Amino acid sequence: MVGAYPSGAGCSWPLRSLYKCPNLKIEEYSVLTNAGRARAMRAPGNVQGTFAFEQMIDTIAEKIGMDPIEFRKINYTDVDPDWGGKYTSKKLIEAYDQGAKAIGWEKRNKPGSGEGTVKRGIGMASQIWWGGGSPPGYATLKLNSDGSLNISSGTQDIGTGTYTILAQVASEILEIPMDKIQVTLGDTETGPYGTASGGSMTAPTMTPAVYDAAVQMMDKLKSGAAAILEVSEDELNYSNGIFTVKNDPQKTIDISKIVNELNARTLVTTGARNANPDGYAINTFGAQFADVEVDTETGKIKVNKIVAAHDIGRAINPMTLNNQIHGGVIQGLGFALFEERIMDSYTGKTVNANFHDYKVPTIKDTPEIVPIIVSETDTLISPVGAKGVGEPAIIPTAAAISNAVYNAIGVRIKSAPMTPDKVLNAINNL
Amino acid sequence: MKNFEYIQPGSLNAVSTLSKEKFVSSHLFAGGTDVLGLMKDNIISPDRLINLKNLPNMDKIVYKKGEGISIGTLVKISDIAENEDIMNHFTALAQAAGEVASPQLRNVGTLGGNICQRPRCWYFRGEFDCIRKGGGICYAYEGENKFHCIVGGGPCYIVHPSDTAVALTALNASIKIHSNGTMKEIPIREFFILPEDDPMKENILEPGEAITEIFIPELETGKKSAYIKLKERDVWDFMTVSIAAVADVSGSLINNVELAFGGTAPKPWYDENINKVFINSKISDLETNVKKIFNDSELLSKNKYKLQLIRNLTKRILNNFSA
Amino acid sequence: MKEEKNMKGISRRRFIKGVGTGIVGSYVMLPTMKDSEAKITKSPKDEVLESVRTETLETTINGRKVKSKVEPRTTLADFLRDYLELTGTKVVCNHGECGGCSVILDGRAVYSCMLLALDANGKEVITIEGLMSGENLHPLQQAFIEHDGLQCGFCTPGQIMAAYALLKKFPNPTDEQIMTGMSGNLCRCAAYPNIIKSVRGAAKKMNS
Ligand SMILES: Cc1cc2nc3c(=O)[nH]c(=O)nc-3n(C[C@H](O)[C@H](O)[C@H](O)COP(=O)(O)OP(=O)(O)OC[C@H]3O[C@@H](n4cnc5c(N)ncnc54)[C@H](O)[C@@H]3O)c2cc1C
Ligand code: SF4
Ligand code: FES
Ligand code: FES
Repeated sequence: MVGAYPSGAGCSWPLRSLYKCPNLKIEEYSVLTNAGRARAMRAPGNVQGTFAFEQMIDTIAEKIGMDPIEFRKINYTDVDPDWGGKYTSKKLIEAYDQGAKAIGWEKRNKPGSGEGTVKRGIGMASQIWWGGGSPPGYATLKLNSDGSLNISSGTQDIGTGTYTILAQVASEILEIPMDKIQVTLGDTETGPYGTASGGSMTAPTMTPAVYDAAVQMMDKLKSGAAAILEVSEDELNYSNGIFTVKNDPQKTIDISKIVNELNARTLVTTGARNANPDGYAINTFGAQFADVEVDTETGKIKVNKIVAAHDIGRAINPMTLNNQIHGGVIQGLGFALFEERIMDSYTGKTVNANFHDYKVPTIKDTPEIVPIIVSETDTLISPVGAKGVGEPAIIPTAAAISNAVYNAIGVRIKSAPMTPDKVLNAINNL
Repeated sequence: MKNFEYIQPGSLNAVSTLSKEKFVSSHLFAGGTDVLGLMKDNIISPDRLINLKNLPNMDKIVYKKGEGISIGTLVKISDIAENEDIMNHFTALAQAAGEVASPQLRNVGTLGGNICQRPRCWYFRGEFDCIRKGGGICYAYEGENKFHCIVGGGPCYIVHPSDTAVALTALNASIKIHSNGTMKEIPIREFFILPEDDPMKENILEPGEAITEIFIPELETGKKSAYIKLKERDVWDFMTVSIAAVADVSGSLINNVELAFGGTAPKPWYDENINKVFINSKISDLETNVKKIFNDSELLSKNKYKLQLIRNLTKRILNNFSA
Repeated sequence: MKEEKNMKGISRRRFIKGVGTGIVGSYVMLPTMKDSEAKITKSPKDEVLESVRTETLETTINGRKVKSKVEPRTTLADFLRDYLELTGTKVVCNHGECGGCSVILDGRAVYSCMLLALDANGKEVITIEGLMSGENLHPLQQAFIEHDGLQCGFCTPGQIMAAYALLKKFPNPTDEQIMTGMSGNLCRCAAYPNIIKSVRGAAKKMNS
């Protein structure tokens, strides 16, 4: 796991934090290899750790004759097992229940009990990750005299939808339509510092910063409106860019007019991400369920369906959120079935450093994916209440697929990717 | 990629002369989807590319009932996959063509280019000076060989990458070759060579020679053909193992069969003795009969699964004929 | 390393460095260096060193006739991006393995990285830049926005060109036809489910 530079892979995090277990000993060590540098990839270490750990959990459940979900539920923990902190929110039970229903868990048969050469199986796995976000993270809002709004921040959008959700948060508070908001990201020269893309931090860090800036903007506008209309702030109503005096609805002023009347040209505010609450653990949770078919004559695994039930706090934009879940699941499927760096052990050279030998999933490998969001807003974290989703979505997929494969054929494949050669070797005991 | 001369000859004779010119390394160029890959990876670096695409009359498909079908070397793989006559009468070839690479590559790659493409051994395509590139050792033999051959290997252990070649081998096609002013016709079963004959090439073509067309004789009545391919990814992936079969199966009896195997050997593998195991055998005996094939294979450290896979797929393709 | 002086007082290491640069220089110049091949043509303004290893390409790109001199080794992708600055076409793998460079050549989707520019001679090329009419997005482009058929967007020009060829062939594609038609384009973000929706959505709009 470790490349030229010693940095731990963190594979054991899910083992330490997913369940309540008072007598837990975990040993994790790094091995210095000569195989090129290790690079981070969506939830580094946790995909691998979960792949191993959640197969172990299923194995234990089977040994004691218990349903795997039941077993997970009795080992459920309300506090972080590492240091005892209470979670700001945890909806893992809901993820188990709603996911099980969506996949048809009750149809699940005994491992390897199917007839015929193509065997069907159902399996699941849980997920834990951070993804609560934290300071520092800033965003600057500029309200222009034509009523349009600019948002700028040094954070970025790597395809995760940051542009959209930042505009949404500002639009929700200031009631400015989305098409009048322009977002400029990716440059700390034009905008204040924003978080880097990593750790599923962007949404939970940056949306509260925009929220804070928008609330400040609202305060400015309100005091401006009160001064211009010569009433006190309490006497004002606000809706869709217009302040109205409660007792005298004829008296109104819209926000662009306020900017002009104040002779300000632009109103500027900068908001910051609030501190996280003391004494709490902040985590994302989820459970994914896989329905697979294993062709026992070719060793090929086909994933029919993945149900992805996640607790990610508030879902700001369901469309970009689902896209993230699709992406995480399909990349997880790639890890489970195809993707592998193959190195020649005599020369230390990678032999498959190209896109036809290193196999990334294609559109044809894509299963039906059913995202389910089991959470609502997590108000302890921030006024926006969002947690991250980028990494949670990839973490349990491979483990769920491997548990489903076991359920189908009754043989455990303990190494990823589960390519036809490995499956055939395992079935035939080679 | 170093620069080169790009020549557009107007006749096959010009192709011969240009390819044989001394002190200039020349390479034939059809769709170019393999040649450009090889050039970008510095596996070949010709001074001259000889473009075949503008040669007349080499891009036609002509079917004559009762005789067979002639397919020009320049016919695009996608046109083969979608040709009605090929789908109806030479199904294995249409299926194999449909399994090649991706839509975009099928739109450009030609049939001649597909059967003459160089192997995909990752050492050959990577920065290893192995035997096939004129070096001294085969890195795959003791290295990463899960996709390598189980028969016909040594001193090099490639598998032949072409899907269409496997189908054409089962279909007993022949290849028409222009050779310095004359034409010759070679059965495809004699077109490919093993590394023991020459580890640096995959077929008998000599400089100055070019394929002009591929001819497949009409199948005898009662015979049908099919192609199956196992690949790790669902699409855009070379075969792990593939099989083409031409068979006459009535009910549960296999009257006749000719099998060709891909992903198995350095050439599309064809062996009369394998056919004999199944000729006049029952479908219900497949389970025991498949154990009689490939018993002489030389398994490498990471490709043992292929033996099982080939046997299972043989069972499957023959079973499908009776279904 | 101890620096050894040679006769002229130039250190050995610097000497080697100097030779190194020379080699690189002559390599870059190679196409124009063969005396017999290079010819100097005088234009009124300046001298142009022109190699016979460039050839004339005449093609139609996004409906416009283009004539240019190119080296034979120039791929169509490089020609589009470097000569014409049509950088919507992306080069990712440069080996026919990803689909980022997909364009339409005479009605069919192809990988422009695996084609020589000279092979577009006399043919018609359509790139992502050719899909808009004036300021209006093509229904496919619109559909990819509406259905969020992308994440980072890097594969998107290629996806849209593959979809364009697909819908030309099957204006009412089945899901199976969509999956096959789009199977030569990788999306590392794996926006595939929304890509399918986008293609479906565009087909519906284009037929109505
Ligand atoms: C990512 C990727 C995936 C692929 N997957 C598959 C796959 O799954 N299955 C498969 O079968 N192929 C696959 N291919 C290979 C692809 O199909 C071939 O590159 C293509 O068929 C070659 O055709 P071409 O016309 O482009 O050949 P070219 O590149 O033009 O030529 C290939 C070779 O054939 C020679 N040649 C061409 N025409 C003639 C002729 N008339 N006479 C004599 N020699 C000739 C050339 O000199 C050259 O050596 C894949 C390729 C890529 C890049
Ligand atoms: S199998 Fe052949 S091509 Fe591959 S490393 Fe060995 S000699 Fe080279
Ligand atoms: S850049 Fe052309 S296919 Fe990848
Ligand atoms: S959207 Fe990022 S690669 Fe497709």
